[in-house]
Amino acid sequence: MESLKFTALGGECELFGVDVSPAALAEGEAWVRRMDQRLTRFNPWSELSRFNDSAFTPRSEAGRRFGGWVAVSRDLELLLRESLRAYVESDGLVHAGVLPALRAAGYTRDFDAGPTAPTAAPPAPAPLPELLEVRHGGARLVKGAAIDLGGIAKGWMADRLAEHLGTNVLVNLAGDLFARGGGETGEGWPVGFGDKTLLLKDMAAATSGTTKRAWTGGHHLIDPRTGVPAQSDLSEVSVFVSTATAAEIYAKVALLLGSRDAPKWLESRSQGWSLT
Amino acid sequence: MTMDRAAALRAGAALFAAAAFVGSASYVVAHPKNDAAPLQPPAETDLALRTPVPSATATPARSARATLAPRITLAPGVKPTVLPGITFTHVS
Repeated sequence: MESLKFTALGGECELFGVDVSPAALAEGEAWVRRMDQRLTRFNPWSELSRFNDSAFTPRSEAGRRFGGWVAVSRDLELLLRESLRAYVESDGLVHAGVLPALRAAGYTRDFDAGPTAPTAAPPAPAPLPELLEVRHGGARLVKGAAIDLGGIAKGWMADRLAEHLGTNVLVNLAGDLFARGGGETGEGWPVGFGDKTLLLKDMAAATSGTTKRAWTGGHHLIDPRTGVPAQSDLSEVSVFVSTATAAEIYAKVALLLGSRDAPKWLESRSQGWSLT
Repeated sequence: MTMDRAAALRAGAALFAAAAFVGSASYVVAHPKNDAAPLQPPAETDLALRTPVPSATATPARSARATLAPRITLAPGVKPTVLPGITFTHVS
């Protein structure tokens, strides 16, 4: 079995593969780094930042609600579509348009640089389909709106990379993981989940929480119903399900719903979950 | 005169020693060991129940995960193992 560890996407990433060459894993790492650079909101020249800026371009003519259409790459187009799908599937709880609220809470720059002083919270965001429109090769935003792909991008990338690397691989991108195939024994890849180890085979897992990327008076998980950092009796939720993208969405929904409603929401969707 | 002064000093020293002995004995009798006495400083008994407080800096606050056990629900057919995990899902 070959493995590779590296830091990207704001955390530790690990790639494992049976009958996969070291060169293939290295190529996977390079792809993750390229995508990280394209999708980060902390680099003003990233594709995502330029897309967010489009809501303020001169083409955002007075009297028009939307900014101009912007050409986007196939990857960004797919991720924006995935964000819209996540919004619907989560009943509005996974909302990629909370970036203005996140900035107002003080998360304006790379977390390692520390939070900035919070500003007045904007009103809770309008439904995502009213803020973002996507068409083949292009997308546009309502003026003043901004997108943070956050965990959706991590999960989506884990799914794509596992599919690309081979039939017996495990991809863990900063906590969002996809286990494809049965691992070395064929029974499944041993993955820590809560305080247990589970054998995952063609299964994904993700964790959402409020305990990291937290600062005095706030944290990074915005509740789109209120536009401010979520108040939940749960501090961490892990979910496993058939794709890492779905796991990321479900974990976030469960955390926002809290311990009373999360199990009911998850029971028809997930093969397992851990609530803390 | 010299003898009287020396005798007075001896008597004073003896009285001081006797007073110290009686005082110490009285203190010990009045303060027996109490096994039920509270610890000083008081021990934190409700630490696990407290909400984690975010740090004052950008350093991520550590979770209550260390003190609160996660509640895990698994669908039938999901296989736990005694093998150590080679990786794990986590917040980033």
